[in-house]
Amino acid sequence: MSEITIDFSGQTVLLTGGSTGIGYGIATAFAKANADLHIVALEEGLEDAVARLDRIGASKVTGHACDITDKARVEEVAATIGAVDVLINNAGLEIITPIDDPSDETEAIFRRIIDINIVGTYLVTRAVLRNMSAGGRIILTASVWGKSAIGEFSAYIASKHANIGFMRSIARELGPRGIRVNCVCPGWVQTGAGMKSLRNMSLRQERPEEDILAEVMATQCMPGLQQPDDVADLYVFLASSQARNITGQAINVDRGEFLG
Amino acid sequence: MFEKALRFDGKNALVVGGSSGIGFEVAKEFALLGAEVTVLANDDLLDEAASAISRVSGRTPRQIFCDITDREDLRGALEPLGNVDILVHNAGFERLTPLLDDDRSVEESFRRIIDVNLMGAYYVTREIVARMPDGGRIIYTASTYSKYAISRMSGYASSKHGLVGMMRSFSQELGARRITVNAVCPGWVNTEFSNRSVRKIAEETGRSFEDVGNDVWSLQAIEGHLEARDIVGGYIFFASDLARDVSGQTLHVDRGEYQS
Repeated sequence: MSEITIDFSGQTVLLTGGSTGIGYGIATAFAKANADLHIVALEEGLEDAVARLDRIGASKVTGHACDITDKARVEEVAATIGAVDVLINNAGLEIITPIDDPSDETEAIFRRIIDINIVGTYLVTRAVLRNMSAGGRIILTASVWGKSAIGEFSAYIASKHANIGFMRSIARELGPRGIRVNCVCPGWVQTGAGMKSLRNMSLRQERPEEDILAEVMATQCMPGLQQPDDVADLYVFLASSQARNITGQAINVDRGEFLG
Repeated sequence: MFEKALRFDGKNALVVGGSSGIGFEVAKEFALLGAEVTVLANDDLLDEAASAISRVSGRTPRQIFCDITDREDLRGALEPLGNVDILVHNAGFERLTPLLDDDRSVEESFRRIIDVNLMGAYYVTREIVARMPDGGRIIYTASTYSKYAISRMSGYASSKHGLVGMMRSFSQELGARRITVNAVCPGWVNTEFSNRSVRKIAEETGRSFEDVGNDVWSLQAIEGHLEARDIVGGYIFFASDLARDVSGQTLHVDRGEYQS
């Protein structure tokens, strides 16, 4: 980075979905920036992720096993953590949901995506807000698919558009209290979830994964598949005082895939 | 070339949420333009709406009484329906959902809004797509709040942003069948649906109805309070042959309130 130092010493950061993928990248960035970090995620893989983050050695990292659609558990975790300076709503589910697939399973997945990505995000925000004072920051992981769309991902795309709508309304609501709210919209990132979607697209379209990926990369201004670390820096910036006048925005970090 | 463009003789149009407000005006107009109209609603205005449409157009619409969030009820209710050429999905629910109001009912409202506006639209679309011939039309009622948001409307803004995302994804998926998928974004329309919240904001802030209304009216390029019948043209356009190459789009009928 430049000569601007970004340091979160003494600040409590609550991050949901921080044990894998983009979330783990965000966790790593905040751990390096000395934040007092709380990872709220499903139990699987959490302990291991926290141990790895702890080894960075710069900050204190605590894990909280929690399904964010479980309101009682969300409130319990929020109460345990107490005052929060930065809330990062990153937990989310991304699975293909073709409209012409008549199975009940696809419908159940659709409902689950809406439940986690929209209602879960709402429950966490509401619970944490009770312990957030002026100067607080809320960041949501949306997606370039919060502004654009492809076929067969209607549930995920609806949920990401919804995250941006939610952010816009609460940015207005919380501005008077001195709390900033923004969305990060990552493009394609090499994560387990992203690569699983690519595999499913490849199966449905009967085309090799490499072809589909090459097609996506061709839509980016800058080449190459992003890594979780590439998108994490935007979260750090938005949480920092450098972004003190930025609120109500949905900012892409996608190497110029979607210009808008 | 255009003289028959706005006739819908022999076409089956289903208007979901068609017993009052915008939906009622749209159903009436389709009947007047020659379509076989079915009105679906779950309130006690359905009978009266059907009679009024019949009186004005000389065509008696089929009535379906059904709660679209009840999956089994919906499946059964749509069973007797044949081909649907035009689906207007207009059913919606709107309440204020202040993030800072700890009342339990706020959370229930948030869930209900997502359930009706997003899940309901998904269920209806899923059922209808199976009985829609190639070249069919799907038109959703979104809102100006699918593009921006005001304070204390996070539930509604989430649902309408989400609906537009879903529409965009469906348009990509159904293009191969030449089915167009679009959304009309009304501004603030003089219906109980919208006025309810304005009244509530006025009560809570000690301002007059007109004063709160002016927050919106002052954004409009063309002055005055929109009426439900003012919105109808958007739906007729999307359903008509004039819009055969228009898909994945939002059309704001809002007197210039939001300019994208």
